[in-house]
Amino acid sequence: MSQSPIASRKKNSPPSQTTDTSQIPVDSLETIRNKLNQVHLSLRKLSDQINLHNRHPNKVKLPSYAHFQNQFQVLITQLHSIATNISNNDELLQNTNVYPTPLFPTTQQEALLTTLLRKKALPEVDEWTESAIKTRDLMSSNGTNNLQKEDEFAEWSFAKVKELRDSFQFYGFHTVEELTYLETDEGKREAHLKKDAESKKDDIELSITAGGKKGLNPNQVLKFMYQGEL
Amino acid sequence: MVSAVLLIQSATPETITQFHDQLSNELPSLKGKWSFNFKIFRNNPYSIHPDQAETATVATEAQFLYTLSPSYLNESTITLINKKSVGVFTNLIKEETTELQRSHELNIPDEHLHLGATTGLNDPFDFFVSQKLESLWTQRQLIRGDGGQIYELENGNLIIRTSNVFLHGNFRGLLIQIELNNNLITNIKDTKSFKASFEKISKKYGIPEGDICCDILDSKFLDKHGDLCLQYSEILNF
Amino acid sequence: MVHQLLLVSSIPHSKYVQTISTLQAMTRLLSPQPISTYTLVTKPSYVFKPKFEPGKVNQIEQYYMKCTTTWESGVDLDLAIPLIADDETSSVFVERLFSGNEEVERTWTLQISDIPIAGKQVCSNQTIYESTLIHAHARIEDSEIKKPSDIADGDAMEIDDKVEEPNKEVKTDSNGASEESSTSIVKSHSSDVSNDPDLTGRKDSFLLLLESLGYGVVNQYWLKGVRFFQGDIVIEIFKIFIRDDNVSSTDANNNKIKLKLLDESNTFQIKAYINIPKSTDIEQISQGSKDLLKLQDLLKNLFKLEIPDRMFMDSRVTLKKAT
Repeated sequence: MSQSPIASRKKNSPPSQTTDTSQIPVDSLETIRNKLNQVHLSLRKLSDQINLHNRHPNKVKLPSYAHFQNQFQVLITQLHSIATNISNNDELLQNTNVYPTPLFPTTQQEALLTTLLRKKALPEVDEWTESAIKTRDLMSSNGTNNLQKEDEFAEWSFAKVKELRDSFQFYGFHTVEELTYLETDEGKREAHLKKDAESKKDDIELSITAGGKKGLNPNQVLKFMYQGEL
Repeated sequence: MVSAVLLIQSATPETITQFHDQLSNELPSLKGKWSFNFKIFRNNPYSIHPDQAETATVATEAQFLYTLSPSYLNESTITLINKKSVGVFTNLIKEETTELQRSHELNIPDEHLHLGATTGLNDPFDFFVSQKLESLWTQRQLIRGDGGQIYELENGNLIIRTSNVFLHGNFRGLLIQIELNNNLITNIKDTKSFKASFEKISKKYGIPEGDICCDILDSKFLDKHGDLCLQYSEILNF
Repeated sequence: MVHQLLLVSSIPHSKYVQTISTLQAMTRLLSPQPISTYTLVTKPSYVFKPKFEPGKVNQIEQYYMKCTTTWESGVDLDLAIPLIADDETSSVFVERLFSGNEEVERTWTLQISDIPIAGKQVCSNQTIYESTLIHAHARIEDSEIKKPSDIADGDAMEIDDKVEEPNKEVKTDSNGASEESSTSIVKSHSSDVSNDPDLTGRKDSFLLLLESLGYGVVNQYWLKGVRFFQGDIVIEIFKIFIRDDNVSSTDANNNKIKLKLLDESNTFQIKAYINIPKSTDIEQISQGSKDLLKLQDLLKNLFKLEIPDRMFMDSRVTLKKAT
């Protein structure tokens, strides 16, 4: 992020005239710097696209929803990797102090030096941090944010339904109430009537078809019509 | 109405024009032209009465079927079998005749078509016989009447039709058909008196001499078409 | 001459109402045309023995002939009610024809059809010839009129009895040996009913004509149904009735004939056809066949229209039968 040479040294290491750079965790810092650079680029590209549309709404179209979604995915991955990097170098970064070497032209580059050595976050950054923490607290107090809890609940529900189902047995198409009704006299009568109606219907059909006779084939009927015999 | 038919075999063009002139003097109303077809069918000799089926190879009896289709009976045919049974066939259905705005005395009742007894696409009976009854009847002669005239006299009580007769294209004489309304007949109950009535008419209008036939099938039942067909069969017997 | 394209099917009685409703909706014909006919199936009463000549194929055939007239009282019959054989309440009776009681002369259509065209067809293709008789008359000699009164009642029923035993009738004819005597027998059938001998000649002259023509009755049937029209296609749904000879003495009615169903299962027959006036009209025939196929597809879930077997529609009299 910063192009200026940075010297770092462990607190307990004795100061020496010659800058000992071997103690500096260059690798870790370089990785973090690269990652940050990537995120920076991605964000700038996205903001350029949006701004360009805002300036020339007719000429340039807003990137599609799918495009945003992709960019967002990329950003998340990048941020996630930074976060991992930082947390991996947690101890190192905690114990690292930054100071200028005697070779640094302190007086000429005073403005730059103060910027580089600044530790306090910008007020707007503080605001973001604060609001993010607040939102997180709010959500967790509502219980909506706890994905793990939700998963647990779903699993519990499923198990419970299974358990409930296992405690019943299913046969036929009647409820227990209906079955007990059928056992009563009234129910029996009703069932009898139904059966009667059904068999009556069958009887009628049977008598219509003269005892379930199969109808004559059209060809046989034609033969009768042509020659007077079946 | 009673009819009589006569054929003047010896007719020449002169007798025809002469008769025409004579009738014209009576100021008849001319009812246009007409023509007819008269077909004679004989029984197919190979159709044998079941009794003789075992012994005979050909039928012993000769039988005749006649068909008469005069143009003034539109699309109708009269048939006579063995000078005994008569049938009148027609192709026209009543509702068709009203569509054509012509009135015809012979037509098939509408119900017959609507209730499904006919397809409505009828063939003339003589065609039917020659196409599908060949095993029973074979056509022997075709007699055609051409260049016919219709005269109406006595206030429509008398109709005289004349026609030239051709057998297989050869001229065979002049046919005269006389139709008399019942009131001109001396005694309608007495069929034997008909001949006298027709002779009276012949004399009055100078109808040339010829074989006249006013026979009827059943003395108790006059049948206009059947009797006419019988008279044709007697006269056109070459 | 009619060229008829035909497909057939049948439905059980239970499907009648549904089928009618569907066809009403399809054809937009709320009240289908009733059809109601009475048919005599006749065949030549002569034996045809064509001379056998080597190398010459006999083209002449003998044909069964249908004689059809209207069945007026059948119009009121409700087909939605099944006819059950043993149920007295549903019995169907018809007036005897040829009884001399009719006011108006009957019209008869004589019909003979060719066997449908052979080969692969999408529907039955058949030529039908028909001619309609509107009036019949016969010569009756005085001597013949007096005869009938001498004939015993049992013998002198009418056509319907004659139909039952066609063979017996033929024999009677042959015993008579001559045309005239057989004629008098036919005449006797109706003269028995009508006491006025003068009417005799007129009333049954149709049967006389039929006999003179060389045809004898072999059976009879009554047809009752309804008819729908869809474009050129006619769809007929009908049942066929025949004479019921099991008449108990209680419901014996002298002037009526009891009918029963030909098909006692109450099955309805279905015909879907197009009549084309000319068998040479190829264009109309191919269009008609297409239309019938379309209808077949349209109705396939209601009933299955099929090509009838041409052998069952053969109206030729085979030599074996003639002997």
